[in-house]
Amino acid sequence: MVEERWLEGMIALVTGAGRGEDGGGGAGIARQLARRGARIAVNDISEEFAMATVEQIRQLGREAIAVVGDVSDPNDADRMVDEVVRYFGRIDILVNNAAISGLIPAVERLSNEIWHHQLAVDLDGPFYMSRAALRYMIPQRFGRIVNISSFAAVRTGFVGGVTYTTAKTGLLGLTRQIAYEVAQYGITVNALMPTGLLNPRVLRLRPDWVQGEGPHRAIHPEEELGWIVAYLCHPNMTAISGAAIPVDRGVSNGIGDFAELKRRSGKDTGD
Amino acid sequence: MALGQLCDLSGLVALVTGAGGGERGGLGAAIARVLAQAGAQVAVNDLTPEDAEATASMIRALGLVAEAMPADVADPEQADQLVTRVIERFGKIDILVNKAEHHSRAYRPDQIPTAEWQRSVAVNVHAPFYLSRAAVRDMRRRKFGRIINVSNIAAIRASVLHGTPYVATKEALYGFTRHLATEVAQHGITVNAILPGFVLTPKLAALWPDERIARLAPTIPALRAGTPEEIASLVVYLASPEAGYLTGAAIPIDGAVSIVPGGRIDPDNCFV
Repeated sequence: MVEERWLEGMIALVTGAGRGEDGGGGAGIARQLARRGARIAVNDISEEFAMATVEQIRQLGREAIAVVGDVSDPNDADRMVDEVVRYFGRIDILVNNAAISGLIPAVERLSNEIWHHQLAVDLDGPFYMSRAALRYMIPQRFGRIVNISSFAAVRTGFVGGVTYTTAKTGLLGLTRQIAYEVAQYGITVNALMPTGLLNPRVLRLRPDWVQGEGPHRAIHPEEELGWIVAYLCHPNMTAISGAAIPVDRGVSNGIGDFAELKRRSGKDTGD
Repeated sequence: MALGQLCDLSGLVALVTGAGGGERGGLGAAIARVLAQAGAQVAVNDLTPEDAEATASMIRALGLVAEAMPADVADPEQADQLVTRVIERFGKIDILVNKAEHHSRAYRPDQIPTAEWQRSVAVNVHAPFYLSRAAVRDMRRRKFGRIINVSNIAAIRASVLHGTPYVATKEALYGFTRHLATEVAQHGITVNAILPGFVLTPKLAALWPDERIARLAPTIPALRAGTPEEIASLVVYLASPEAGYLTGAAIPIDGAVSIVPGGRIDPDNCFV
């Protein structure tokens, strides 16, 4: 079956998209965008990580390059976007996926180092990358930015601590304001709020987090999350912008359960 | 019980950041004064000693208790020392109002200076973290605390005045509020965000020409700006012992301007 390639001719940069087979949402999104016809720049913090996904995309017969750097460094962000444009001639799609999560101490015990580093990657990073990409998207009067937020942006993180919740919520503000300001240039900016994403590394650490094949099964990075990103990047998809879209099969609409959160996540809830 | 008996803050100690300027101050100064009028002892923080003292003097002139405590709350050491000073002076900290904020200008998003972004994050997000972290250590020992983060309707809408750094950081502050609320609820500490809309403070009245203020009124369903006292009254309620089950909320207080539709961006006149 020939897949529809509505992104043919487009250039996409996906941050935190490395590790290939062993990657998370970013690698899945990169592969899906490639299948839909885009040429891909795979960002990650090491050449090895980025190349793992680049190789996968090349095996699909699609074009991909690695752009290695740290999104939380504004100079790296500028350089990486410049590299993409130098190689491919333009940038149409930016997916801000790179983020740090994980168990951290409760607020009263949290160090400055963890707080600063995680906020820098999870919130400053998307700003620096968006700013760099918009320098090309605004003059070309076309662009699609998709920010991978989290359901933590409207509740709290199931795994991440206060920095994750703070950054992912701030990312919605970043999404909304940039969307509002750049609509006039033919650019859309949206946020996805996945929860329960199938991630091979997380699955190995905590197989109890993501279980089963039923209606509550995990969200598939490539077939589901990646497909939604590809859909939002469709050239005709101009009407949806500034949106914060839950990607969770609706299961997170219920009220929470603090005891269950403590039992399942093992996180520091300030007891 | 008569309503007048509610919201008595006698015996409570409050720290209000960005509360300087006294009679010519902004929302923080009004919050500090109204908290004092409700019975709290108030530590008044702002960047400069002169600004902080202006509000502390104004409150003391009313026969109430206040002390100026200048500091840059975006500096983690100064923020820690500030909370230590409050506890040394008043014995404890019950109420923390994170009001200090940095207003970025409305740069086009591809032209925002890195320094403008970083100062916004430092003042609007990092500072409330440093101060809350320090305050919670004292509050949880006594099983009582009230943290009120002054965000803005920018946390739920786009801004026509302040651009991406302000909106992103004010919404991040709401995320911080939500998460901290879940961690400290078990210790009798509540954490809430208030989202003021257009508030006509003495500081703003001095900055903006009258016709600019007059143009805004018809855009608000209440047909007027809010008063600093109206916002401060909500802070007093959230700070009171009666408000112990209200936590993790983000409460718009804006004359319904965040609900009414309209407000399209003006492409020719939206960036600095």
